[in-house]
Amino acid sequence: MARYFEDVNVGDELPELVKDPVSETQLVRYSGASGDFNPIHTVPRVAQEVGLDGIIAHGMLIMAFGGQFLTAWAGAGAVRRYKVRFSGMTKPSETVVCRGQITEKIDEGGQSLVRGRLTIKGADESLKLKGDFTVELPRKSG
Amino acid sequence: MLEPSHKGKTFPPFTYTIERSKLREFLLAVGEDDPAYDAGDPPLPPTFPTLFAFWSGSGLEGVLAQVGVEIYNVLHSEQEYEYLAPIHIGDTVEGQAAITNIYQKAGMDFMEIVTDYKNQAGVPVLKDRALIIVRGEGG
Repeated sequence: MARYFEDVNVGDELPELVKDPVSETQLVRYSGASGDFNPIHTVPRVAQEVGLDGIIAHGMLIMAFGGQFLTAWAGAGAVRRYKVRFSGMTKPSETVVCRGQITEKIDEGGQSLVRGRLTIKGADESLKLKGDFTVELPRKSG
Repeated sequence: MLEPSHKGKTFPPFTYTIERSKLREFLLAVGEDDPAYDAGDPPLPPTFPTLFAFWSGSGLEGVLAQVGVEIYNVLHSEQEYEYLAPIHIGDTVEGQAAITNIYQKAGMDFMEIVTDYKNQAGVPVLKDRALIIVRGEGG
């Protein structure tokens, strides 16, 4: 079901996305998928050697959850810009929640762009990242 | 401390060809099940371009090697993607990275890396901006 530009209002909240707990296996999978083989995400010994108390999720995996959250609302392929600032580490077995809000509609020069902000937090409300985004939505007519 | 003279440094172009099996692998890793990605000519997930540089061997790791930084001493501070045109399965994108800024803040070294991507037709498709923090030696 398409989401139309006309149906969106500044201040609208995007539906929350609650992800399944991050697992060690998922971090191995994401390493292989992304090509990011930094061992702090998969090898506990290396994580400890650099001062962490265990492996941590790739920040880009958490950003990918946010991408899933945005496209679930706006539609796959609708994102025009997506920026995040990483704040906190995510460990295996943590559950993260994506939330967002619309901040601006740009309706000029034939554009139908919607801007907003998002956060991703742990179950304890610790901030993992915050960011902003621009999506392009179809119009009902024309 | 990062050598400020690295600012402005550009790196050799690298290429990456988008394959459907790699898209499936990415979707499974993220836990994304939107059927839109099963289409014949699907859009790519917003952060799929992450792997262009990693799998080319010429992205962040290559940049870090050039400035003498180990990847496990790096923290990712910010990431931004600007999507300029659709990228399709089968496309070969060419990326070129540059160190666009180096500065110190709160006792930490920051390095901004911008990678511009174009497709096989020469059309700009993506701008990738990463801000990383380089941790001190021996921490």
